[in-house]
Amino acid sequence: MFQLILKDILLLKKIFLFAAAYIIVMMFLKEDSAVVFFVSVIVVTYMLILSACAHDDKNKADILLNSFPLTRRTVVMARYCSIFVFSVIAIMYYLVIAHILQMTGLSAQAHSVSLENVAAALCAVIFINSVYFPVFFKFGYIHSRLVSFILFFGTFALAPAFFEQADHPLVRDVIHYFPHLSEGKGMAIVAAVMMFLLAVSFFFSLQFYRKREF
Amino acid sequence: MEPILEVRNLRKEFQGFSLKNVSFTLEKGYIMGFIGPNGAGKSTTIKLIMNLIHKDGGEIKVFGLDNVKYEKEIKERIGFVFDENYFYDELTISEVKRVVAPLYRKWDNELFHKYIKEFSLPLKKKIKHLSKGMKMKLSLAIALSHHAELLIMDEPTSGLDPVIRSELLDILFTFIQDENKSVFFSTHITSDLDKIADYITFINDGEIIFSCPKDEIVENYGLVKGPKELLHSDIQQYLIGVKENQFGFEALVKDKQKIKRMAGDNIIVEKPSLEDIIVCFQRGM
Repeated sequence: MFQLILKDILLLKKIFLFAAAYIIVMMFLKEDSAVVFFVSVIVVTYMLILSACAHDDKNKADILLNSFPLTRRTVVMARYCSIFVFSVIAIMYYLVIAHILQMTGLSAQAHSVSLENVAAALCAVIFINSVYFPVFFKFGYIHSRLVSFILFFGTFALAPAFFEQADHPLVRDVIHYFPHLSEGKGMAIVAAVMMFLLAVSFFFSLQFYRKREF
Repeated sequence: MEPILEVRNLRKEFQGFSLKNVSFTLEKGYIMGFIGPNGAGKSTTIKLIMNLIHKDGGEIKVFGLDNVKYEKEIKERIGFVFDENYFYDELTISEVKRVVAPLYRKWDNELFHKYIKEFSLPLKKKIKHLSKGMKMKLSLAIALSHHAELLIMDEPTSGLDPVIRSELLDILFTFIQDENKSVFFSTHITSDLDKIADYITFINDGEIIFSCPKDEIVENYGLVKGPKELLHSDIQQYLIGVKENQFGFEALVKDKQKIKRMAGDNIIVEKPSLEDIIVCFQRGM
């Protein structure tokens, strides 16, 4: 499985350069470091995952991958693991670039990152890909592009709208429930929900991919 | 001894095409040519063996194991070369090796570099900059570097020049010297098989027409030429793919001795090439 992720990393060398440039531009354009971090992680991860899927499609990689001694489960699992690998890469990118900019004095802004920032970005990335991957494994890259596009822009459009609806009784109930929990417990619940979402998504992706013919 | 590849009553339905009870067996130590016109079902059969598509019925055993149940174990021992390149265009040969080598438990790095040198492949060159012949050689280098016992090749020589095709045949000939190894080789360039194949399996319109030793085909089949009057005799029922011209007719027969006995001196019987056999069968359908 590691080899499949390594293959993606080798294929995405150019995208990594572009991602660094994107984060630098974002840091100069936006002042709120939490927003810059959130957007950077989502955009970079989205770019990397979609480009990896595009490379596989362009090279008809399913024929190659399924001719190697790999199970279809491993192929699907590698895609899901890449969510975390690419998210970590995006976070590291952000931290290193922010550090360099501060050290060189090019940016006066202190781009600090809290655990909540990391959790929020990871939740968004997991949500987007948990919905996208079953569609990708069912229909392939070309037919799933629209879904990924809607999910990506939908996340940015709906996130502020959700917070604007904070007065809605249902949202209020949810929000008011969390203060009764310790920070650790709240995080654990969110993590459990995300893991459940990933597990359900993985289950469907695997079912779809096992039925695919190449 | 257990066959290295055994296909029994294999069925697959597509819209407008079906594979009908395909059966054949390949023993260890032999090269089997899998021939047939375009669209006959060669690639479909190979994809079914590789479990890239799902069968509707029948059985495929590789090394005596079910090809779906023991897919991973089987693919550890199979080398594949497809008709087109599926390696990532953007990777260099060196990067491809870095990704592929750990996938095989028996990967032999020394052997890989020996083939790279022998085939004059540039390690630092991207796949997209390689010629078609070089891409095929890379596939072959990878297939041979993990000590595959069975090579499955789908039209590996299509689009290659005669020099590279001849090189490939030499490599296969060397490979087969180990009597535990076999090659299953689909092609419509039948002259390649005239040189190296031990067995020929002929598929047409999703059906196996014959699967037998090449020598048996040479001994039994005949290309018959004779006067048109014979077309109205008992002989007619034994003729396959009759082609008439102003002097007479030409057709294929499965049992040339029988036809000789029936027609006597009225006919000329020649040795058919595999190409003649494909053409006549297709004409006769």
